[in-house]
Amino acid sequence: MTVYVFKRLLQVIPTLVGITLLVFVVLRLAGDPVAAYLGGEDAEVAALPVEQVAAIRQKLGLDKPVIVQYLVYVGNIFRGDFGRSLIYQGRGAFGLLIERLPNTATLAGAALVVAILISFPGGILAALFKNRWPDTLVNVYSVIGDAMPSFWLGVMLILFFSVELRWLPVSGSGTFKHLILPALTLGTSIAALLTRLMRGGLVEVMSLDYVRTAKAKGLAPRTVVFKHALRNAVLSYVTLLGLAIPGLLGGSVIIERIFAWPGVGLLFINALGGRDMAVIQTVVIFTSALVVLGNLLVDIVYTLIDPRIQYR
Amino acid sequence: MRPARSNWFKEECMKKLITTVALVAALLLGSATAASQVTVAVGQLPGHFDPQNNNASTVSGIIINIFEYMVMKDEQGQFIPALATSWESVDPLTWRFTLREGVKWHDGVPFTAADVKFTFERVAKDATLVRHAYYKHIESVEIINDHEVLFHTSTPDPIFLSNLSRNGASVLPRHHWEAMGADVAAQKPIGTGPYVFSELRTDDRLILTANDDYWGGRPAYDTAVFRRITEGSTAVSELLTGGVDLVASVSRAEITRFDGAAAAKVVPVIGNRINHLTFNTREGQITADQRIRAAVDYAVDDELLLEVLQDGAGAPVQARVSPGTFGSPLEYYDSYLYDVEVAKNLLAEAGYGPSKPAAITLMGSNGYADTADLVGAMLEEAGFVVEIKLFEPSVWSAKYSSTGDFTNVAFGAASDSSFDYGNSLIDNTCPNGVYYVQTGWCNEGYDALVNQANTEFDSEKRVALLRDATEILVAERPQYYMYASATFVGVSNAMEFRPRADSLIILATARPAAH
Repeated sequence: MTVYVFKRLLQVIPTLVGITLLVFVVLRLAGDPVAAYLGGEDAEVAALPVEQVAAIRQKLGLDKPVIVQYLVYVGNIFRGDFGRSLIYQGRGAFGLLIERLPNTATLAGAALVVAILISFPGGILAALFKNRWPDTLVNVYSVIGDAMPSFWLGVMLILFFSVELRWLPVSGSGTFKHLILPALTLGTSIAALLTRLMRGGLVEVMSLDYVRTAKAKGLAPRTVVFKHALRNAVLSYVTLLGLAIPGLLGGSVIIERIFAWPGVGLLFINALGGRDMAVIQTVVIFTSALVVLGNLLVDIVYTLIDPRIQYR
Repeated sequence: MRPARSNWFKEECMKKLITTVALVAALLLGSATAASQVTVAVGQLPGHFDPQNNNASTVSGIIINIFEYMVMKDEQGQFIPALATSWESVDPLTWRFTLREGVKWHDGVPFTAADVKFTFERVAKDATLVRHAYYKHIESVEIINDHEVLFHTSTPDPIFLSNLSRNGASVLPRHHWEAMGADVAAQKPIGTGPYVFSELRTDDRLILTANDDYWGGRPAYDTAVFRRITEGSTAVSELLTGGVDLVASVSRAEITRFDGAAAAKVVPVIGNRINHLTFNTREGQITADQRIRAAVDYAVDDELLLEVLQDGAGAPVQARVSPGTFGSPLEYYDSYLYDVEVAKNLLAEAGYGPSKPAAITLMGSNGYADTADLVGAMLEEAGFVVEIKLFEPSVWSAKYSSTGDFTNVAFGAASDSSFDYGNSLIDNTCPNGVYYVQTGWCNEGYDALVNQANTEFDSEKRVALLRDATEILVAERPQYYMYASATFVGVSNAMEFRPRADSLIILATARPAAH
């Protein structure tokens, strides 16, 4: 097991190298970071004199061949320097990411809790009452929840709870009250898919022979469901949950925007808009690493849930 | 004696009670008025505080509360003293400024001529600073004494004062920048303004506190907070529920939410941001033909664009003119050309017709989707065959801004924070004007007039030269100016504040509304 985990961790390195190279090259093909200096849509005029653009490009080291720029960049990473931001002049890209991470992690954690609280009991309920009204209710929820755009839901929640009832703050961060609406919005949209997976998994397992045997043995329904069926039904649920985490930590751009929640998502979208290469690269590397680690985590959790799965 | 003692005891008790009640009351009342705060919702926060490296008008509108210019403009566009108390043009190449005495930087160090010299020589010499272009002709700043300086320029500059009261002209503290270096100083700003930098939470909020020692008097609010709220509906929800006091720019879709609202109102402000079409006039483009450019102008109904896109708030224009911009020939303001028949005739004259349709491409960032649909439909009405290509903003900005890579027509907008028309006209000169990269348009007569105007100190002569240059620009149309757009500012009824045409959010002028 330890050897397996170590091997998997080693595989992360070539993956990340590939990703940095890809992002680095694509970014440089797709546009010009001098745009960051121009101030975006708010710029007084959408251009600078030609010789000034050349001077800025030289200052940023963009006049050198891409491969030279890449090698310098990778060399700096090994020294712990992920480059400096253009938009946040002078600030290190890694520092910016770390600064935002707690906000995003808080929102992601709260959204996951909401999602699990809805999907786990919801899915079980639907499976046990298959084709009866609780099942229909849960199915209706999971279809609507999946189809409903989260930006729409977010705005509606604000209008209802903040503008009409004045129970909760409209936007911002800092207190528990600020967390409720964004967590609810984000959690509900993830929960829809999770509920369906939970229901599907359990329905399938409940029709298997060993469950029938357990029932025939005269075990209490609670024992059959929770002790025998659930463990096998929950595998795909856990997979999806594991895969959702890196996405959540990468920041939910739409939710963060609607609720003015200063997390990684807002940082990333800003950086994209301003061609802030160092920041874009740092966020992408971080998110990719999370995906790889998330997958690994899921694999390890499998062995805990299902003893038949072993890694060598 | 006993009754007396009892009285004394009663009196003492009474006194204590009164004192306690008074204290509690003072505390309660005090807490209601003591820590006053004004909160502003903005679409963008400064990422750094290097005013000379900022091109965004939103950002300059915010940092005016921390840093100050040498001269300011009042709402009528007249120059008023700020860090400089008086000024004169000694000769065409020299300006003399007397600086305000008794001004202190936020760290207590006195403001002197050395700061002015440092500030303007930095931006004049460093070509990598985005505001360099407006100050590169400053050869040196000569210190006469602590409160008097001479600016020596390489070319005569009648717009000099305007350039000293615009985005980029904020005076910087020499001691701070030299001790810290630009990168650190730009993250820990020290200014002379009415508010002191306290904290920047990137992409979240900028917190400022009142400057007790401000030369213009302490501002009314103890704390000023700028919150970044990019979602238009969220910003308005905050304003209507008292979460913010000011929304710098209310999106058009949200305006109806102010109908009958008791908490806030929306105020339209027309500045000098002009929406335009930029033509690629290089060979091989259909828009190389002046008649085609004229046909586009005649085919598009500016008034209708304003009505649909701006709820009618704004004015159609034929040049980058506005009432608050010095030197604007206002015959081109609130005026436009629209005649589909003329457009059709121009197309026929240029050799296009049913057998040879005039195919034209419109490009821009996807923020111009509505504009593109409308303009495209009107052009088709006049006989053009239109193709619309819109891009994600950063892709478009990279494509268009620095390389001028586009086909036929591009959507855009421009403003000028100096509010001097001569500065707007420079943008179309060849080859140094910023729009030359895109238009490829050169006209020697125009360049000569603009250059002459911008070295002419006699206001009347200058205005006449600018008018002549505009005539050429309007006739040849490297750009077609559509309309001056209004910004809608949301203001809480709990606050007195007049939004400015130059979009500077000067919070020192804001105060709680009298009830």
